Amino acid sequence: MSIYHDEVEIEDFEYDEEEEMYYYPCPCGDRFQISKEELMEGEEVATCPSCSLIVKVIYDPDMFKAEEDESAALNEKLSDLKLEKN
Amino acid sequence: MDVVDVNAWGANSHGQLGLGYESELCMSPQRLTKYSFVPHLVRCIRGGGGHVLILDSNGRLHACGWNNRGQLGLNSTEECHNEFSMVPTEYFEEVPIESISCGWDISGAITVTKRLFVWGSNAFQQLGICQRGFMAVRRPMPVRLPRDEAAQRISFGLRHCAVLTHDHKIYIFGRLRIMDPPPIELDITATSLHRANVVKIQAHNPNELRIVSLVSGQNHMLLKCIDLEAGSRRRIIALGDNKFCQSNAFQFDEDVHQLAVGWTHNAVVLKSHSILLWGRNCYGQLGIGGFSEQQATPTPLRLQLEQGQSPARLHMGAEHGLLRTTTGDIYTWGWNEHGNCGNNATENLSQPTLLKLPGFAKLAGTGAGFCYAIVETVEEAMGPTTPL
Repeated sequence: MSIYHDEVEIEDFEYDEEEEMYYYPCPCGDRFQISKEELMEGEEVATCPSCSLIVKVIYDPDMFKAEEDESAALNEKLSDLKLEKN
Repeated sequence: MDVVDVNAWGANSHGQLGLGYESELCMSPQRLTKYSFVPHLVRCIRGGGGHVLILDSNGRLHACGWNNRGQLGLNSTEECHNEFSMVPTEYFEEVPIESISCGWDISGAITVTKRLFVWGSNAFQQLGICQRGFMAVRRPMPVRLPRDEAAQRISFGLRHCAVLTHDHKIYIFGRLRIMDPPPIELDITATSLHRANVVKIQAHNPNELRIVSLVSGQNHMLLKCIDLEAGSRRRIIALGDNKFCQSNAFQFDEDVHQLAVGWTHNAVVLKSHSILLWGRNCYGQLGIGGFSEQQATPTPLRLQLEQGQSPARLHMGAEHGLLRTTTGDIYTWGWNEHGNCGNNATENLSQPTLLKLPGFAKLAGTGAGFCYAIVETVEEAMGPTTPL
């Protein structure tokens, strides 16, 4: 079996600004998660704390390689993107 | 004396089994000891990602489980409720509830007067509100449809809410990507309601086709339609993501009795009681024997039942299935990591497997990773009983 339960674009994750964490629903009822820090380090696997399933996160690493202070602006951009999509 | 019990099993990470505690899994049916409802009066059980709604025959609603977005409708800010509570009837202006539905972190109800209420997450405007500060609604909120149309049915996907009106139109709130081009049988228009974006769906030719029911998967929807000229209910139209062939649509040889969908797989129960399934099968969620890891199943395949068994009601979790039969038995299959199938194991099941229950299953329900069953047992004191 493919090791990934699914491949999910970063725009489809929900971002929690306080925790700096991206979340996406897992079929077990918990949520796949990956932190902004992990994304900045180039990590592309989001894990679920309750089960063995994992998803591959599709994103542009350049968006997260930016300097710390720039990343805040990027996140704003991201959430604007989200709003537009809605 | 008949004893009626509530049993639950599967994922319990948010207390959604109503057992009074949270745990990663329950591999076999557990009997609930405390609840706000009367078990023999339960009319409907619906599960979301980590929460459950129970509707009783008095039209009252009971809720349990995850509440991070207020999806229990109890006006509570607690993260989880691991025991059932009744949703105050005043939230529905004292009008009894007729039907209920659950999505990932959202819930909805339609009253006997056909008024629609929704509550829970609005992160994707799936409650139909476009306003800052409305990420979550923690108590049932009435929704007024355009021209005060009456709501007939409601279904929730991961991030959308779909409402079927009495005049056979569908309104979709939130995010559902509809394929391009959309099905030719439908007219799809973008509109807005209270400043929120809404998609309106109607039959292109309402004299030929009528939408009578809808169900939602993760990112897709199935519509049951009547062909008005032939008078048949054989047509299924599908909308949305088709990565796992879950939006493949079909015209069946017989009328469709029931539709059931998981996150990325579908089932129909036909008039002759045969059950057909298609879509993703990586965890055995189609129950057709075997696991198809790379490829989805694009066309419906028949579910094999033991001789003499006939479906009463089919329920789908995210990646597992539950069939209640007319003889009060329960069969489960599919993803089983959290004991979703209740067979005291965690190996995935590729075929319907009879579950050991202490009596006759009157009613059942599923959520993303868990199951519920209302079971009736006859006490021995009644005299001789027929062995099962």
